[in-house]
Amino acid sequence: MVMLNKPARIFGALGFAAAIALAGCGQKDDAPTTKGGPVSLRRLTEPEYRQIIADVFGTTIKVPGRFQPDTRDNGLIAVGTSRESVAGTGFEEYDLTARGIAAQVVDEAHRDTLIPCKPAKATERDDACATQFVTRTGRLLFRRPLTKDELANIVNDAGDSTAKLGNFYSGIESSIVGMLDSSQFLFRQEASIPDADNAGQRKLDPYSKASRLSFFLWDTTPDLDLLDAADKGELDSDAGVAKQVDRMVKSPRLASGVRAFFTDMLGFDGFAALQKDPQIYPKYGSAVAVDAQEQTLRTLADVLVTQNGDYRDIFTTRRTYLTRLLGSVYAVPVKVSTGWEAHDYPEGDPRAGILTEVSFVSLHSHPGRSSPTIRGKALREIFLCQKVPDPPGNVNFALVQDTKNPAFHTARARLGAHINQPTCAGCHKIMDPVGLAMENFDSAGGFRSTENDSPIETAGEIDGTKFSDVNGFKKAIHDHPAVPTCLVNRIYSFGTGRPATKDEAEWLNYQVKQFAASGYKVPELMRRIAGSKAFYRVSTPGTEANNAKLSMAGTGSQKETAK
Amino acid sequence: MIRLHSVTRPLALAGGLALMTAAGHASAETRGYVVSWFGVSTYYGGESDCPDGLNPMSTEFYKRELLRLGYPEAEAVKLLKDFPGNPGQPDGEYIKIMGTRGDKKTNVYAHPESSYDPGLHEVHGKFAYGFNLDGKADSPISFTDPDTGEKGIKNQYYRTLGCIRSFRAPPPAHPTLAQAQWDVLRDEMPAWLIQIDGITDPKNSDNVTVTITKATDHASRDATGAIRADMSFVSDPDPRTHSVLHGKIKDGVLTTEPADIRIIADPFLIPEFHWTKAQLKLKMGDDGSLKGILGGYHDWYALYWSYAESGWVEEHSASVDMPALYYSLKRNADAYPDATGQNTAISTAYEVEAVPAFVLHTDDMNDKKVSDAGKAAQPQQRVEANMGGWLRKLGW
Repeated sequence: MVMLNKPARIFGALGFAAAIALAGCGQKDDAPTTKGGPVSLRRLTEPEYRQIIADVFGTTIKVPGRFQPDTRDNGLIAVGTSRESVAGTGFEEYDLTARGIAAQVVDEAHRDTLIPCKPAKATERDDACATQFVTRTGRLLFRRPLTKDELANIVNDAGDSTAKLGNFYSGIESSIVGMLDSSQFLFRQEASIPDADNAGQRKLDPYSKASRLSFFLWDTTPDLDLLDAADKGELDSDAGVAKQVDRMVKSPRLASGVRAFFTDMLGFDGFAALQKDPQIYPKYGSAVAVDAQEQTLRTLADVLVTQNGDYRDIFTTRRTYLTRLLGSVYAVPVKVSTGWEAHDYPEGDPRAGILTEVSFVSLHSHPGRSSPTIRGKALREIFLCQKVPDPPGNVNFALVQDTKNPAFHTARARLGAHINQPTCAGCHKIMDPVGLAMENFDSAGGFRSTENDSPIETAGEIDGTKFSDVNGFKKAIHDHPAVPTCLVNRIYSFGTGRPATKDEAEWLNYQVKQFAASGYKVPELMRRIAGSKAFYRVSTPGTEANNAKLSMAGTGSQKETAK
Repeated sequence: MIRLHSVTRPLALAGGLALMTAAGHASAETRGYVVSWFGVSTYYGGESDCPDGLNPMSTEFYKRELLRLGYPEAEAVKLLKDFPGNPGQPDGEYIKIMGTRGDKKTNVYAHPESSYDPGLHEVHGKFAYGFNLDGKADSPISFTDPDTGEKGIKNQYYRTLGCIRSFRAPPPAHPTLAQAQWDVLRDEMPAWLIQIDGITDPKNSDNVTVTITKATDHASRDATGAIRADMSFVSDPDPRTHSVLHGKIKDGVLTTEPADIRIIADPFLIPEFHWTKAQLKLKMGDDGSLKGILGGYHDWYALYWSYAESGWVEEHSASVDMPALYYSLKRNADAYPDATGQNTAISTAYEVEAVPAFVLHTDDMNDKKVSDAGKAAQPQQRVEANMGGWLRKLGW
């Protein structure tokens, strides 16, 4: 039953506005119950690792090196990390990075700030001081208090190092390396406990809850308030969780969580390997690629967080953010010589919305030409959660690759001839009309109205909705019923690190309805998910067999081979 | 908002993007450009340009000077062999000898008349780019424009430089020295901008105003190393950096009436160009680019010093015999005589190329819309982002 008056009573002291804000948390409502999913063991992503170091030690500590690459599963790296281990070479990279970080923490510029005490003698072990440092730092890095054995071992190792090296700070340095190299840091290890309120069911333990919350909403390790709440058992109650969720959703750092989710969902890791032919696209380069990602993330943060707007408006918003470098790609004046500037496209401008920003059209194109097929496939998989099969292995792509074929001036003409091959037609009919709508934008994001002197036609149809141009196409995506459904599925998977289970389908459908009722507000969606019991429920052993993946959730693990 | 009349965008894009151009001017368009290539114009016509032959390389005229100064052949050869600073070999002596080869060991770069005139092989070909600056079609120093056949072209600067190897290159290559200078300059100095106002028809406009200015920002390069097109620049508000010309566009070619042109440059090349009776002739390309010639009279000694200020470095690397250059420029100067009758200026022509750019003016900058949302979203901008992070918050 919906009992809206109950949270209002519970948090009455916070005032009416706060009570309304909290109403979505705790969810004493009619949300369907779920049986939960398995606990996850998720390797930190490189951005998460870097953010944790910045948050724990400060941004003056540089994180050198690169890490073992992440893999994508079911459309998300967040899910892929649940399947990750650390290879030998990967561990070497972690260790080198840890040594670089540790050396900075104990250097003379940082030690007085980051180490809470001074040793009695700098050349001798001081277990009391080391214990102070390791206790506090270890809690932040392991996302829980260290056990007595862990603390004793790390302090003892630090003491041994001090004795051998004759320097207390070398011992501390060694302890930091040990913690950063530990699986307790590198992996988010969730643990479950019996759910006292629901006999026979399990839920995440308080520290696992804190981690799931923090990485979901803020893209980082739990802060001191959240760990304190876990220490005190406050996260055992719906009200305690709701209080933390409310604090975190109201924080400016929510934008970081939103950015992290969309960085993952949009596949921006693909930029690391993206190349463009400089002779064809001289304006494209690595600096443009960096700015392009940031442009889209700023656009999303503006619509979804700052404006608290309708999620679907990301496809049509005329407000964007530009640097001068991006201004040169879009042929738009930018006043600020460095940094970012808000820019409003005029009504009817074909560049409105994120689908025609450089980040999307360039990421889903070939190095020397656009690809309506790849773009169409990407749009369906990323935003509609629809799986498009890979092409058969014996497809002849010669026709679509020949952009100078005098008989086929435009991609539409080339693809029109290509899909006459029966084995290709089925999928191309799904992908091509969508991608052809974006053909006004070349492989590097530059606008064009013609290809080989022939006008580019962008009219088409998607899932029964016809459109006459790219703006009509964006409106069709805006109104496509699968768009919000897909987002709810994706964002839930992002938070839990696993695909939704069949058992959770009804609950997700309920969340989709709530999402619509809220006006498609993403912060509210995140609040509802983070405040729900389902988010922390853990399936009991032996029931996983019933937890098959929802078929609609898969996209990204397949290799991109569409042409 | 940006005021459209002061935002210039040269290339009208199709479709909705046309809205972003200076489309508010139905009757007169403004276009902006950033200079992407600038170098002395040296027509390349093959051997016929230099019937006396090309000028010697620096090693050749350095040996000639060493012998003239009385060094034995073997010692001269040894000095040249040791140069330029082969491992373990001192090169300072060699440089000092060349730098002080004037009378009484005078610095020959600062005081070129302390040297004799070694003689510079000059251009005696028929063709050169430039303008008929003095209005005389048949004077002895006149060239003919190789593209248009126009007679009376004055370009004595080319006559002086055109037989030095580092000033010669068959098109489309640029001469070595000019290319090297521009490669440094375009990264080192603020960009040069061109703004054309009053365009009623890109192919034919009777009355346009051309403003050459310096930007407050540097140009940047694209993935091919060329100047990036469609970038935004702010024009330096200092009026001393503005040169305003009047002209017309006919059949897609912009020409301007004679006027002074000043361009603040860089001491690496020349601190400031100042041409008198200067004109532009620029073809407006269908791709939005400009390409053509800037010509006018320029103080010849300032041009000499633009090479001589670097002394031995440019003399050696570009094979420019500085005393020979000095005397040739002085001899070929063709305008503005002083009281002694010595001309103080020389006719010149420079190649100019430019790509589309947005030229903004300082009064456009009052309403900067810096992204608040972007600020909030920046991952680096954390409340706890200072040194110490969350450990610091623990309060020790």
